[in-house]
Amino acid sequence: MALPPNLSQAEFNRALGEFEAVVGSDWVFSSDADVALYRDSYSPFWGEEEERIASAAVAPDNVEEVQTIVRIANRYRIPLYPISTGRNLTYGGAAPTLSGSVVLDLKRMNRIIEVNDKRNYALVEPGVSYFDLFKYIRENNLNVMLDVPDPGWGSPMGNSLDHGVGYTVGPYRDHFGSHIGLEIVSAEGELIRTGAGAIPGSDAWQDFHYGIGPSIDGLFAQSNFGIVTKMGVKLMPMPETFMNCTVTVPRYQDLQAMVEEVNYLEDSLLVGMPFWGSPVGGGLFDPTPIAELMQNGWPTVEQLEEFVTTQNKPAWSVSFHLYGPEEIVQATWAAIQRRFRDKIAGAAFQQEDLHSLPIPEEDIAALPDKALLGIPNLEIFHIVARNPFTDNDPSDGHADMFTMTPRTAEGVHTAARVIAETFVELGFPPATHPFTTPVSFYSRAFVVAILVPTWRDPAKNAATRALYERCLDRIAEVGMGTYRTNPAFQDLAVSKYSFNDGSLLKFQEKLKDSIDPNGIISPGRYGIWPANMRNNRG
Amino acid sequence: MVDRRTTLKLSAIGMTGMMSSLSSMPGQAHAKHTQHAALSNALGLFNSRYSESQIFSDTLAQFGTQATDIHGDLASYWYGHLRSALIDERRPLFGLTDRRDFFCLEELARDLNMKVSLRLDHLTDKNGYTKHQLTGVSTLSSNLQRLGHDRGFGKTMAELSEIFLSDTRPDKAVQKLTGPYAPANQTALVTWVIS
Repeated sequence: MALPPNLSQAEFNRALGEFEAVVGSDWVFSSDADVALYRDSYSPFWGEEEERIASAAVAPDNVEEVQTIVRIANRYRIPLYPISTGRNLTYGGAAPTLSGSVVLDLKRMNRIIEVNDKRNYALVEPGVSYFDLFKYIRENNLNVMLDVPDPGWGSPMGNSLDHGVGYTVGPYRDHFGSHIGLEIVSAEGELIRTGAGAIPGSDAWQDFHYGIGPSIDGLFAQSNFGIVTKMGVKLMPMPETFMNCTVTVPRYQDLQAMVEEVNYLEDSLLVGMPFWGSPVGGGLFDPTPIAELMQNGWPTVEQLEEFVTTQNKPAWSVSFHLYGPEEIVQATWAAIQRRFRDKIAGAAFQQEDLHSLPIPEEDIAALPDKALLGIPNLEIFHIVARNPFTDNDPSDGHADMFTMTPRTAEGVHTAARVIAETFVELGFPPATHPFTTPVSFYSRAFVVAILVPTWRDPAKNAATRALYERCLDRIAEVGMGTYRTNPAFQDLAVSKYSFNDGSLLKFQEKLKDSIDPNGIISPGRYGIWPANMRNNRG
Repeated sequence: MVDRRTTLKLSAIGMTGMMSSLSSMPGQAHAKHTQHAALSNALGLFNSRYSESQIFSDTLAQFGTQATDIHGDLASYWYGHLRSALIDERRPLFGLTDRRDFFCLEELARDLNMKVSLRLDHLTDKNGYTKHQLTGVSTLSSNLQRLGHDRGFGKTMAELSEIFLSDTRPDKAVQKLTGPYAPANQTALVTWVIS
């Protein structure tokens, strides 16, 4: 069994006894089999000494119990690692950043406090899953739509606090951006509410996020400054209809004009998440059609245009997801076609069926892409399970590397080229290519998404880690970084945000030392180590 | 010293034979339930996408146990029914499914602090040859030869269910052994117990 740092077994046993006195013995988990439940199933260090392993887990039922646990942890200097549902696989799952931490498992705090479909918000506890919230909305016939991640088995709170993303309209698919009001237990056990929630008796907690003075909400996302115990979620009013439609453009060099047009539509809030594709390139999971083209290195623009011509397919596509009253959806689609026709010669258009919302219960199972309609599901496991990257040697998991790029064709091409060259340099087949397309999880940035495989085999994981780290180095050299990563890579990823001698991290460390003087909340999370553990930095 | 697991192992072959004969006897519903105490206390799951899993379910039905088909939307079943049913009455879950189903269930079961106590992988290659891989200590170890390497192991696994459900203590050695994906060019099914 792992132990918290600098704590004897006897001291730890005493602390566990005190935890049991708070939550009951059924809710303190310390056997080897218990602790194994909290291992990261996709860990890039699986079975190695560096794998992050908890020492125990404790599951409080309410805020008061959280506060008491925090006070006990301060007395013993025990690191706590709060999780809501702990299912953010590829980003560490339920495993702590620092081995020996006690997982503060908030799964029992699973109350849906309110869903309001007149002011369009929900107020939830950490253990509420997207499935729970979806079911509640359906059963109560509420006229709101969720924005869910994929897979959708996590919690709105956990996903938001990890800067998770969804698939509908820009302001909603940025999940932390669409939170509205937090309740936090500080590292010293004090209860804080943000925004209008700081006014006793306020009914506007989920309406007004600023309150007065500095807003501190952002300090509690991807961080270790406190434990969030309630969160408001902005919800989209249930749209009347939904329609999927696609635009294609013929040439490789049409991408920049297409990007500019999509940026206009996105930033005008006229469309939901654009899904980028490349009919000649295959898309995220299928780089094979252009493998030959890549054999002699990165092709020239002329070679790429010739390749497109020989394939007799459009170079790029973008699917728009339109939400709203039918008149608006149809008019928007007409405007999209007009604008593209005016800007890009040879643009072509395809419209799919218009659906009335909400989708009837009996029709949900047959929907091809449920996340677009805020319906949580686990179907992505089918997609990732079988694709050309995995068929020859299926991995046990993956560590996602999402490179954030400017919303330009040049940004995407640069990231794709750097990543492809890094893969080749380290002996891997390139995972990106000249027709790699961006993902628009965030409406104001592009993501170039790579799933780096992880295994139960330490030798393979060593190669994977080297690849991942080299990619982080190389993309930083061209001014790019990632926005979220497995704890194994957090120190390195954070180190790339190094403007002015790392002044951002230094500021965060000052806050950490002040807010959490004993360093008990998630030490090391996203590179923020307490003063007494800074030599742990990887 | 003979512990409970050893006793169960020693009795396994005899019990299996007994279950097979019971399943073929008409009008023995009450007797079946008496003999299948562990089975009747457990909740069975299968995935109708796979013929062996369907056979597993069909055979369980002969013992009076109706397994639930999780083909399609496993998570909705967990959040919509199974989790609350297990909160109301804690019972072992067992099944013969694919790795993806099993992987997701193992992760979901942490909600209830339920852990894997049995894992038997069935890996079938393109020629239909099935290799059975048992991990950890199990009451099933002396019964593996019954499975053979051809089709039909789903029936045998159902027949063995009373045995492997008789000891559902968690075993760290069988937790989180693989990810959700099948090895290259193979169908990967798993017989499992989560309790």
